[in-house]
Amino acid sequence: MKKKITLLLYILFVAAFLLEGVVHFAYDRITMPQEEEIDFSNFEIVNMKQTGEKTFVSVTNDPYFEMIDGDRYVMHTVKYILHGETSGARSLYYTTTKEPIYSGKNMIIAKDSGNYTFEFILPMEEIRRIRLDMSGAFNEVIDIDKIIINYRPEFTDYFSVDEMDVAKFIFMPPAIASVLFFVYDLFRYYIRKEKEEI
Amino acid sequence: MDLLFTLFSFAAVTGIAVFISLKYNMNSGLTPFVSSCFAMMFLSLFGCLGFVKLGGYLYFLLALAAVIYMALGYKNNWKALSKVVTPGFVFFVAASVFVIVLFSIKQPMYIVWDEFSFWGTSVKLIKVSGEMYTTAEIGWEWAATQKPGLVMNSYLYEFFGHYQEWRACAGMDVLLFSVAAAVASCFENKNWHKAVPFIVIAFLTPFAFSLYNTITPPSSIYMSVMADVPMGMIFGAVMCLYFGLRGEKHGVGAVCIALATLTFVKDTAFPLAMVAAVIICADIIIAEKECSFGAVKGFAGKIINCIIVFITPVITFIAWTVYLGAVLNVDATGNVGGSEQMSMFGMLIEGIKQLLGIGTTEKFVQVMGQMLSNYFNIRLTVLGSGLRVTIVILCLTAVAFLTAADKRQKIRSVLYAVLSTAGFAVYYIFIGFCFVFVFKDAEAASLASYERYVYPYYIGWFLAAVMLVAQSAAQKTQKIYGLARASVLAVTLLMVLRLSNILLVGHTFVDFDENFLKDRREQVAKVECIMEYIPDAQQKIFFIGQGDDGNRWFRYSNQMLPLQLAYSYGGGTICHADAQTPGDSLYYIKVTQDELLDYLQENNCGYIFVERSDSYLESGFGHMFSDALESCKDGKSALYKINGSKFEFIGEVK
Repeated sequence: MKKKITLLLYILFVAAFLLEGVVHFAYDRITMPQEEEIDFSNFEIVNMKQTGEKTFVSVTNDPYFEMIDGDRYVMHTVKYILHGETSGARSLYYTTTKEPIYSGKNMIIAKDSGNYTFEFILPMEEIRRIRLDMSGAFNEVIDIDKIIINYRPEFTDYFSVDEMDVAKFIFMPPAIASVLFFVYDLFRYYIRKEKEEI
Repeated sequence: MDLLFTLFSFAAVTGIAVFISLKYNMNSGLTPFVSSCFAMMFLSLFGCLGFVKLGGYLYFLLALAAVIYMALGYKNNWKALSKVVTPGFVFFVAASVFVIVLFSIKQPMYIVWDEFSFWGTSVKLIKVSGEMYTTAEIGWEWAATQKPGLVMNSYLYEFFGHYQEWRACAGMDVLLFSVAAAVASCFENKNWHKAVPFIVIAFLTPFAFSLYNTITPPSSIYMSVMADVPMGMIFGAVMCLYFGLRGEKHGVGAVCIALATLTFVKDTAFPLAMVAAVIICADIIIAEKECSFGAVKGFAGKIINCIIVFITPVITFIAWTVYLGAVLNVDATGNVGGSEQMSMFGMLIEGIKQLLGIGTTEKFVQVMGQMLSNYFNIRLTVLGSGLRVTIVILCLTAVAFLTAADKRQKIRSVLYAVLSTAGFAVYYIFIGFCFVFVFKDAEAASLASYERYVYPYYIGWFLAAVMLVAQSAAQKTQKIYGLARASVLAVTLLMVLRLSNILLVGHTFVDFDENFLKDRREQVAKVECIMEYIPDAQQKIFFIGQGDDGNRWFRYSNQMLPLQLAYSYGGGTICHADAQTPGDSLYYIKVTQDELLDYLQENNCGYIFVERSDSYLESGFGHMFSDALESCKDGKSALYKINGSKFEFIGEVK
């Protein structure tokens, strides 16, 4: 019984992962507006100084671009292309209607597509604002080609798996099963008053 | 190939664990920890005798012999073999293999200063020199008096194949997972679901007791060879081992190996080992029904076992100090170094005197007052301040008491609560003494690294309390069994929820962002470049890294081995004696041209590696370099050969 339930949870985990990918892909394909290049004037430039039309130099080790008026856009995906390498985490923070403040929970690490192109698929929520971290170093040149929203990712991009996903897949089903069995044991003992070994 | 070699080392540890489990009928959740301790002590012993490589080969031969013994002795005995498959053991194997494979892909590296100044460098030094780090030549004055237990654990996973930092980190994780397995050891295979919350708690404990707030660089927990977390985990595991093996024929022997290992972790582990020994001895005398020593039974048997348990850490501690005295000519009385240059026992006596008001100094009053305040006010863990940690642990022991299966287990819970709390007070005071008598005034005033000294106790204290609750939760018929399991589930959920807010995406050992290690990877590439220029240099390399506080020097000193870096004035930031000292840096050493040349000659330096130049170096010494340091402009690095008073450009280092 316990083995079957645990196996079922493993199958459910895989099924949920695949289903989420398919639904997310379909949702984006149906509701995503046209691809659009965003002008830098839509971003507040934080901890950087602008040295060229699309060139910036970081003045601390935490430079980022923060969208000023996110309500103007419906955002499903974000992509930016650089002209050269930068150091530090390439990540995107976002806020939603429910969570209007940036936090570590609402953060996505970029998918590096090569040629200094970094892509983000946003969750199926109403995204209000985004913040782009392109460098994590002081006095670093950030030379940007363009920032695009609502580009169309490949179908397979919705099924990318990172190390944390693998760890969750291995260890989460037994953990969930453990909680379920615990509740079931309590039910047997206290509600059904079973006397046998538990 | 290095992945296979690492898995091979893991297989050796696991093989011996299974052997111990089968041969001595020990719970297989406990034996991975016993096996790890055995490996550490075995290699340490051979290392101290000067045969570290031989010890390694012998260890693997021993593991092979154990596997052959099992293959022959337990052929088709599936009943015996199936007993080995317990929840703790399965977790140990699954998590260890996962981490070893993960690390072979992601290749984490050392990032903490102390890993370069000792914990990681000592492993590499043994690997490249084939001798104990205490005697191996590193190129500068190497104060390698720290104990070898954890170093040997990492070395075990580096023994075959190339030295890779991820292998040492993975080895440390295997050790930590063996502790988690020990905490969940009292659950049988059919009740694996009951073990899960305990495994989760033990796994999260290093995070929960060393983090209290969101951190911006990824956490080094589970990708480090630092000793503080493992010390706490081993401290807890020693007591878990005792609780798990109570009454077993070979229990005391296994506990003694673990106690010796704990003493061999680092200097501050000795008081932890003594606290554990006292708790175990009290338990043997008061709570244990029978603890015979061979044919000697009854109270006499108990006393003999207690003496053995108690003197194990003492003998181990003394053995190391004697070893240091013999090999390094270091004071064999256990000099703790620092500002007062006292022996361990001298420090204790002086500390107790001042605590009693005899000759109490202002520094003593200030430091101890600050320690007391920190305990109540400083938020150190996800559970909160030290006081809150104490309350949570005492609540767990209360649950263990209420849900205990029998009277002896109740006595055990009470004994543990009282003695571990008293032990904490003693340990806390001991740490205070260290701040007073070992640390410099400025460091003592700010209680530098206070948390690193305190949380090991919290970790071990907490884990052993969880183990007591686990023993209640594992009972088959228990009227209020739900309390034990519900309390642990509550603690599990609390830890998971708190840590899910603290540990950000991309900030753990599982999913850390590659950019996090960019700096280190660049250093590795530079060192590889240097090794191409001078693959078998017999002379030392003088390091220049302008503006460095010593961190980069330590990193390169580690990375370049077996090439040797000279001390380089303690970090390699120099300027001419006549130069106006830069106001923004504390680290510039003023030297004249002649002093520099004399230093290079005295230290047998053949090369200069300019990792980072600046205007002070260019103006003071630029004329001595054949390219006038032109190759080092814009943050570039270059290698030079010393030729008399001229430094000839060899090539750019990138």
